[in-house]
Amino acid sequence: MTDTASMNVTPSQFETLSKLIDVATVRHRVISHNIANVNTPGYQRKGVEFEASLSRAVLSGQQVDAMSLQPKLVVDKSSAFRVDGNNVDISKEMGRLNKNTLLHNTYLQILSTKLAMMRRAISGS
Amino acid sequence: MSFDGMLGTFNVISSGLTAERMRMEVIANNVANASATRTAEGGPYRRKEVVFATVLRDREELNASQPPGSEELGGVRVLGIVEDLTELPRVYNPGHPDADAEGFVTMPNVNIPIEMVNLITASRSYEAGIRAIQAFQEMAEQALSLART
Repeated sequence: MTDTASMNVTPSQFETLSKLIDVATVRHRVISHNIANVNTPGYQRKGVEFEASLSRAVLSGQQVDAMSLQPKLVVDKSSAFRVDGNNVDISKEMGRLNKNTLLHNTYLQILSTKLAMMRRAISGS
Repeated sequence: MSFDGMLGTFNVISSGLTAERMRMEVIANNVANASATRTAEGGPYRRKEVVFATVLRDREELNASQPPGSEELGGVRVLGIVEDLTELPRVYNPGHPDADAEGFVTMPNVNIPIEMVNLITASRSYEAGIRAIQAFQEMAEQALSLART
């Protein structure tokens, strides 16, 4: 994943970072959906799988095109079900929500730092 | 991420808030009518309950360019309000104007402790939804700050 490999003006991390931010937004929506359905009988909570496939792609040693990787929506059947057939645990969802917000803001922070560096390099001051 | 997708998250959360608020209103109605022995339909009040259903929009009816796993989740909606058809308790109260010949009054099947427990779960879920909106707003503001610098 070297920045010099392509003729792109934007470094490759930009794409990976914006994809990760994108996925964090999708995940926020999925968690919100779970929270909205906390009292719907028979509802099974959903999750987003992305980081695992990204890390597999990175570890494979090939050029990673983060944009082509898509987040996958999965139905979680492993969590304990309540009597009404619903397996949303509100405290766990809130934990996931906070974690996701933090991750999203971390990616943004990295991206904004990189942008600032680039701006400095262009202006030369 | 599309701007539409961003607003979609707000819709998902607010659908949950609307549903929980509806549930709280129905619970309040049940508690208020806990001893109502006369209704417009005749007979004592029957406790009401809301039915929730997940909203999952069809992928086909949506723009194919949307990222998977984002547009199909639509939150929750209230399917309707149903009556609880469990047996109405009969209480001995000969002085009551609705007492039958044996002195028994058919009372509503509202159980206050159950209503209170439901009220707590509804209000907790509502709070969770509010927290989700706050977190999302924080995220959106952070993302917008990128454009500001």
